[in-house]
Amino acid sequence: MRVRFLAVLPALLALPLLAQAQPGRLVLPDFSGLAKKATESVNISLDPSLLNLAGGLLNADPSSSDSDVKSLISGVQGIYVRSYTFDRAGVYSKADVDAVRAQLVSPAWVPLVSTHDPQDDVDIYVRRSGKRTEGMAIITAEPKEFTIVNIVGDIDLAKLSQLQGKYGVPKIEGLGSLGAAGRH
Amino acid sequence: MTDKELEQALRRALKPREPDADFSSRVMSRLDAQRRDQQPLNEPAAASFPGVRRAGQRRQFRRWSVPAALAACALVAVGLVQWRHESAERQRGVEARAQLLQALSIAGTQVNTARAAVLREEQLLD
Repeated sequence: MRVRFLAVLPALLALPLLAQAQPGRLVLPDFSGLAKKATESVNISLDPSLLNLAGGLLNADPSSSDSDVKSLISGVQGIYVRSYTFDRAGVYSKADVDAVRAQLVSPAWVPLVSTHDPQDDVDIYVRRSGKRTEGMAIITAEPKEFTIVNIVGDIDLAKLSQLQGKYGVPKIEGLGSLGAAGRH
Repeated sequence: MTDKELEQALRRALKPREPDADFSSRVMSRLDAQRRDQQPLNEPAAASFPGVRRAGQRRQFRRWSVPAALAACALVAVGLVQWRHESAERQRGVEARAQLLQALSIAGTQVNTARAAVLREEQLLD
């Protein structure tokens, strides 16, 4: 047991270093306990090598819908998603999500959208270095579900938004161009 | 030619002859040379004996059959490992592609949810 712990220790110590290696990457807590209680859970970790692998299987033909995705992820180095839905409110605590929010500190992280009401908290943060976007974080928390999306690298929010109606992204009526959003 | 004349002609032609005095020594020396040489196929002398050539080919086959079979097995094994690696890699790629599309779908949904929330707030303020 002790030997096993010693073997895992370097990997644990390397985690913060890994997070620092990619400035836009957040350290996401281990939500495996919540996953057991959730009715639906999504845990996606796409590092650069997996993104490369996935990108290689996307159709580069401009007439194909895959080409939108290919151009969308061209500047992305990683995508990490944690999403949990529960059958009742109060299963997860606010502290679970706040542990991630605590990493989104200025001046590195800039809030792009932040809306808070009793039913719905939505935050979109962007990390920039000069004109370069290093990462993005989307956190939505509702009483029965929460979702954390961390995109490392540069991604065009307008293009991401244009995915609505494709790949299972629901189309929300009345949404104009993305320029209308972006207040906090 | 009559039958008798033909018979006499055949008798003359097939008359037994004593071999030369050095016939035995020539045969023995040839056999000795053959024994000394373990690769009769490469030797002109051995090549003149079809039986010896076949034996040589058999020896040659036995000598190379095991390494050739091992090499073939190694090639097949390498090909199999390569094929398995490639199919596993492709499977990983297919899974990664599905995850990528799901992740973008979730991210797109969240962005649009945020936009809808902002629009709602703006409408309330107006």
